[in-house]
Amino acid sequence: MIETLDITKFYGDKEAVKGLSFSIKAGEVVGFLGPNGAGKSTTVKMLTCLIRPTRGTATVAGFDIQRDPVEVKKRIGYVPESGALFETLSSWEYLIFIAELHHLDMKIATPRIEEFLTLFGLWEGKDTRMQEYSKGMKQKVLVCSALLHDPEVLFLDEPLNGLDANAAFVFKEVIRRLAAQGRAVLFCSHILDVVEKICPRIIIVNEGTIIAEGTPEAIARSTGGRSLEEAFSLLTGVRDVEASAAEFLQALGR
Amino acid sequence: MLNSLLTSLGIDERQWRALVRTSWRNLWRTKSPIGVHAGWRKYRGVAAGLVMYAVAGVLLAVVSATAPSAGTAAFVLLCFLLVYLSSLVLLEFGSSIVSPDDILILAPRPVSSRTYFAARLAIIIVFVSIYGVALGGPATVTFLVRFGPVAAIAWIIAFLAEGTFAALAMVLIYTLALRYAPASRIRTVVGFVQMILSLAIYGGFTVLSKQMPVLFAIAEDRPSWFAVLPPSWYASIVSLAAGEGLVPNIVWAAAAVLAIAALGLFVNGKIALDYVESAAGVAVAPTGKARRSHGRVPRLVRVLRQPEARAIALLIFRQFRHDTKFKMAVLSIIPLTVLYVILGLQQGETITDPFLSDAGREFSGPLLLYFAAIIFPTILKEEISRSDAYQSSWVFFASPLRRGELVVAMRRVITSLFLTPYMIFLGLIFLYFFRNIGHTLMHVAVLFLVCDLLLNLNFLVRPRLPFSTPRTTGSRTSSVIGAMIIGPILLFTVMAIFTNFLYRSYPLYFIGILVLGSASLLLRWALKSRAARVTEALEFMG
Repeated sequence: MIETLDITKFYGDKEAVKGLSFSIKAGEVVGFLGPNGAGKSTTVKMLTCLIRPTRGTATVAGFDIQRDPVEVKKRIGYVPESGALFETLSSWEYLIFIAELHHLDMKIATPRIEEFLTLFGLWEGKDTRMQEYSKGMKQKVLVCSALLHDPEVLFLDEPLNGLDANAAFVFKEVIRRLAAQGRAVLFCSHILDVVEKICPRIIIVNEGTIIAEGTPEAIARSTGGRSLEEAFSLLTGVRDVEASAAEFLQALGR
Repeated sequence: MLNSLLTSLGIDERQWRALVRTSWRNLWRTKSPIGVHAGWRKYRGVAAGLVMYAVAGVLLAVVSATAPSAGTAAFVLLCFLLVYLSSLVLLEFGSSIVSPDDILILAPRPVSSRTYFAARLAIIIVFVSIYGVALGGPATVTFLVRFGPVAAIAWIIAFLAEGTFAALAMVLIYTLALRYAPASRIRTVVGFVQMILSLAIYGGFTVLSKQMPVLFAIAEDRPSWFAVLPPSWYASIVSLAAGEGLVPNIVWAAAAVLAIAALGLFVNGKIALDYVESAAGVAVAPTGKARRSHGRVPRLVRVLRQPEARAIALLIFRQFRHDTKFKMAVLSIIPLTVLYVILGLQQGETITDPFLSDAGREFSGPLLLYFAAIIFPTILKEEISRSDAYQSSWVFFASPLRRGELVVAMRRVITSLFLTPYMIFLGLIFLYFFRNIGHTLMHVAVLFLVCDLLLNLNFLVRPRLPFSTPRTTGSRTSSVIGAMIIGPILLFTVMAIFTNFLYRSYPLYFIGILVLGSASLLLRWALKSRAARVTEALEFMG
């Protein structure tokens, strides 16, 4: 479903992503981890056709991201980290708008939107402009808009941001079931225990390159860590967590 | 018919309609984290701009009533219309073409670049047409009364067509810059384009205002080079309808239609195909240059003593560097100021020592030099209060500071870093012409106090927190035109009182200075108190 080969992105002189190659099959949920500035969001932006890679190729759902960006976009659902929405619209207006962009039959789209909004507890406020929504409510709308057209591939960049415990619980179950139905999911998050629970396979990137790939257990074992969290810290440069915290507090005292 | 046209142009009709509908809703639904604009207030930016355009339209209608023929009247009016409508695109849409607000929302959707671009273009053309009606509409009565109903209908077609041409031409210039500028230099290139366009448009406006009789003469004579001027093509539609010559008018009217078709096809070609990608590149790509500058505090900022003023100045400099829209807004004011300085200097014979000459006492001085002293600070103040990152203004609400101080700090920054250097520059010019350092200092002191007074008055009327209000369509046009109309009236009135009465003797002069100084201090005190009251009452709802 997702195949990248030597995908690279330069911003000016800076190489943000350095020749990443990986693949994700149908039915897989893959955790995509890395510290801030590691190149995760840039990779996702390339795969969702927001920006062009400087070098390398990638296919999503069988279509080349550079040659057929519109075909790729028809088949993907994307929850962006930025949480960008038309906040002057109501959630109902926004989802109808998204349905139009995806050429959904309104006879199918309308009940689906109704069901999504009800499921996430947004039905009562469906006519309220989203500028009055809380962060979690906006995130729910983003999730709805990513799933509305029943995509083959999902790119989820911090999808649980701001979701309440119940909504997060439901959403994690939805991801599992979608994968079981054959969708490929690329899941970016900094909440490592969530990633550990829902992603059987994990890719860790740092400074634009892949530094570890495999099951959470295998990654932990390979670094000598006891958990994914510890392995992540060891792999991405924070060798001694306690010393780092102490230094931080010392800086506060100066 | 529209559906088949869109389909033949490779535009997805259903998506296009959804995009246009949503963009249109977004235009009118103002959002603000510190107070939701409700009722008619959400339309006031556009309404104010429309009223000002309508007033200009009435004046143009009066001017056109004196034209010897329908073709001449149409040509003169269309020259003004072209400049006004181009400035509308420059002020309201330039930055949103280069850096669309919705690109990050829509780029991952299966919308082709051509469809997205066509929807954006449609909104711009509709908006320009609405303003075109305000500007050209009043003259329809003149054409109806003087040249008959057919000429009036032709006039409506002509000004709407020219509005479309102006919108397409401006969009083409911006998108060409976006397409051909190297990614790493795109902000610099776009900045240059904005400055050149501003200079051309405001320069055109000034030339047109000063050369009205020449315009009438050209339109009557119709020299051969007349054919290169777009207003002449659209004026031919009116000439044709009024029965003023057949063959050349048919050719030029055809040129008018062809120009729109050619521009339409051109922008719908490769430019439309790459538009989303280019615009997304601007939206997501950081610049290497910006990264290199990280951490340095500009020397100018260190001049300011108050920490709030230093913070605001730093914010302004950094926004200028990183925020493409703010940069483009500021760069569109600079040429206007430069233009007035150049034209003011051309009136060199009027720059006489006002303490000595009778001419000075009648106040026929270098008006445009004075004008530039108020236009830049006034518009800059409006720009500093707006930003796409307006939701970041939560920091003003979460920090332990008196928010009123921020408003005062904004005023201080504009006075210290923009108004004062301009006054020094003016002082050098006056010194060259007056040859008297005492008189120069005294005259500049008056001018400085008057400008400071006007700036304080502006802040007093509309105290705003920096970068805390969303940019709304229509608001820039109304603030720029407002500054161009109200500011000079106040400035010239006070300066006329000084040069006519108070410059006659030193005691009178010093009384005048004392009054101005006291008024300025009083306004500063009033601003401090009002800004504190207004901003403390605000709540952050973002």
